[in-house]
Formats: sequence, C-alpha cells, structure tokens
Amino acid sequence: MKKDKKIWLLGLFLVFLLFSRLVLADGGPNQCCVLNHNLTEIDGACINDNRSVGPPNWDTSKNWCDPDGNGHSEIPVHQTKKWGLCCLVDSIYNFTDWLFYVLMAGIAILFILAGFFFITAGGDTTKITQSKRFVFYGIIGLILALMARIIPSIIKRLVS
Amino acid sequence: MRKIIFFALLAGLFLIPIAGFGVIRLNNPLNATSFEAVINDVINFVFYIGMALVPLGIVVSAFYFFTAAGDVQQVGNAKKILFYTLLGLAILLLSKALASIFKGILHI
Repeated sequence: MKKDKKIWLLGLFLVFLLFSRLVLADGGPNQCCVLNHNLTEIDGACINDNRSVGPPNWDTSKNWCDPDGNGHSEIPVHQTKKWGLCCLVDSIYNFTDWLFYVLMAGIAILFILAGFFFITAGGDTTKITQSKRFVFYGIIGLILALMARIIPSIIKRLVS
Repeated sequence: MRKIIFFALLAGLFLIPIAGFGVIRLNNPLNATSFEAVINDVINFVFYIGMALVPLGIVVSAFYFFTAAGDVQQVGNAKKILFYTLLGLAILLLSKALASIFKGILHI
C-alpha cells in the first residue's frame, strides 16, 4: 500500500510536467528544445547556451518551435539530426536534477528531525538507536546523491 | 484456380516497372550505409539514454534510503535498486567495449 502511494505520487508529478508542456505548445508539438546540459558528446550541435536545438532543413510552414512559450515559432539556432535524442536525454537529466534538489531539502529536514529525536530520547536506548539509523541512512543517501552528479562526467572521461 | 490468379497478379505487379514505368529508385532513409553502421547507431542511442538513466536510478535509490529511516525491508529495497543500477551501468559500459574486443579477436 505504501509502495502504491509512492508510484501514484510519481505518476501524478509526471502528468503535471507533461500537462504544463502541452498547455504551452499551442501551434503544435515543439520540434526543438533549449538544453540545460552540455551534450556535445552526442552531437557537436547539442550545446547548452540558452539557444534552441532543432532538426535541420527547417520549414516554417510545417514545423513549430517555441522554446520560450510566447506563441511565436522561431527557427532553431543549432540544427542537427540528433536533436530528438539530445532533447530526450536532457529532459531525463532535468528530472534527475529536480529529484536531487528535493533530496537535498529532504535530507536537511531529516537531520533536523534526527536531532529532535536525539533530544527527546532522554536516555531511552531504542529511541537513540533509531535516531542514529536516521542519521546513518541520511548520510548514505547524501553520498549517493552526490555520486549521481559525478557519474556522468566520469563516464564521459572513460568513454571518450 | 485462385492461386494461379493470385500469382499471375503478383507477376504482373512485378512486371509493371519493366513494361512501362521505367526504373523505380528507392532512396535510403537512413544515414548509415552498412548494416554495421546501423547497429552502431542503435547501440549509441541506447547508450546515451542509459547514461541519462543511471544518475536517475542512483538518486531514486538515495531517496529510498532516507525515506526508509531504519526500516530494514525498505533499506533492502534501496540496496537492490542501487545494485541493479550499478550492474546496468557496468553492462552498458561493457557493451561499448565488447564490440571492439570481438573485432580485435576476429581480425575484422
């Protein structure tokens, strides 16, 4: 039951993300995106310089690209055939970043809670061990979250 | 009888270009020109998506770790997620290397 709740929450969040995207796109689905991460290892054109990445051979009458959501289509600045892969990978990275920030906030709250438990334990051994576990797994989570940030750059070095 | 008509129609269909319409050209919709290049492109595609999913998996396992707060079963779950994410990462890295290793062995 607990697991179900978590999955539902995650699903709701995803639907919310998708919905906000759909509302923005009123001239059709966006055929470009602005990258937040440097993905030059996929294609040289996938640069995160706040300018749009889209497909080559752009046709203004057929294609739609509105990265800033102001209702006006514009021609993507960086054009490459691999724009779809770049945008997909970038959105996965965005989601990871978002989760990372939530995690950081969660860990801060967790440590405060653990401190509170330590104080209110009042010499009760079981309560003290419980709050020790809180801190222990909080630290493990923190290390893992930091690791997740480092791993992509390590792999880039390894592969290229 | 039906079969004969069917085959006659099929043969006629193949004869049409020869009879009157000239040569039909099929344009290659892919960038790749060889089968090996196609496989390589697919591997690259999966590789980059996998690379993006590995950090996500690790962050999710971290999330499970600290929401567990000492619950042994939950911690076990988190460990499993972490283990299989890292296993996936290892296989993903191997997949890049394996192709070149096999090429070296077979002298292709």
